[in-house]
Amino acid sequence: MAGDSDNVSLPKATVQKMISEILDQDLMFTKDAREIIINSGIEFIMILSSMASEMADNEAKKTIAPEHVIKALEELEYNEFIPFLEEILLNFKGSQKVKETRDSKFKKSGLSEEELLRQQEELFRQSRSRLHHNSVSDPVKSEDSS
Amino acid sequence: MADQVPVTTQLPPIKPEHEVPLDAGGSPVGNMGTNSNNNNELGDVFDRIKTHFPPAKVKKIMQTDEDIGKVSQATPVIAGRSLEFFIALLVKKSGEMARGQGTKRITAEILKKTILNDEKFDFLREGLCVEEGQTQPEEESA
Repeated sequence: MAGDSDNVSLPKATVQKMISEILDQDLMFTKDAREIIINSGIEFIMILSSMASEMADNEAKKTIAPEHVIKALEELEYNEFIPFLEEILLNFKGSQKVKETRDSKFKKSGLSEEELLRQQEELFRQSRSRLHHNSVSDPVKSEDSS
Repeated sequence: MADQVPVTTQLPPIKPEHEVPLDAGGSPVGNMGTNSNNNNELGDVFDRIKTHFPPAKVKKIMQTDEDIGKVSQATPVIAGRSLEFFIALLVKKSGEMARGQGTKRITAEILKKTILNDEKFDFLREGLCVEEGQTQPEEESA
């Protein structure tokens, strides 16, 4: 394949582990077969991407969204994947919202920038004071080592 | 005078002990109805997947195609999971093919046969022919 010159591949260890999880325990998978799985997987992802890109173009969008991927799966007749993916998408969006909530901690502190600055300066002053106090109470004694 | 003494033979009472062993009958086997819901079956297979492809890797593969432009953050995640499901499907069906042939070893041969037999894997056939070194159909799908 001309496309193989790009040297794109799926991580073999990941694929191997995945196969082990999926396969019934008494069945065995050969290395040759795993190579075909990897090549098939790359082929699938490329076709899925092209189709998703087409779906995005149809809607005059420049960015491929997850919804376009799901529409692409319909076109490719992999409808049975869709319910599971929609659930995963919900979970993903949920985790993103949690992240956003953490980022807005500043906004929810209810303190103005001036007040926060004053608090910080107070902490600096306390720290400097403590440092000064420690250096006075414990003078460094020089030791003769001979 | 003749005294007739009646002789009555009294038999000792025989009391045989009929001990009937109490055999507990086997519990009735639960009648399991055939689960015709194929989606549940798929779900079982998909649930086994604990390993996931890194989204960054998936994105990189997607964008080897120069026609693919920007993708949102969630897209490689969803595409990666689609790929996992596809692999799960392919592995499962090749497993069934192997069992059908009475073997437990899934070889490249069996995998190719699986791909050729199932409509869902139509798009993979051309790649297989090239790999086998057969006559290469020089069709470039733009």
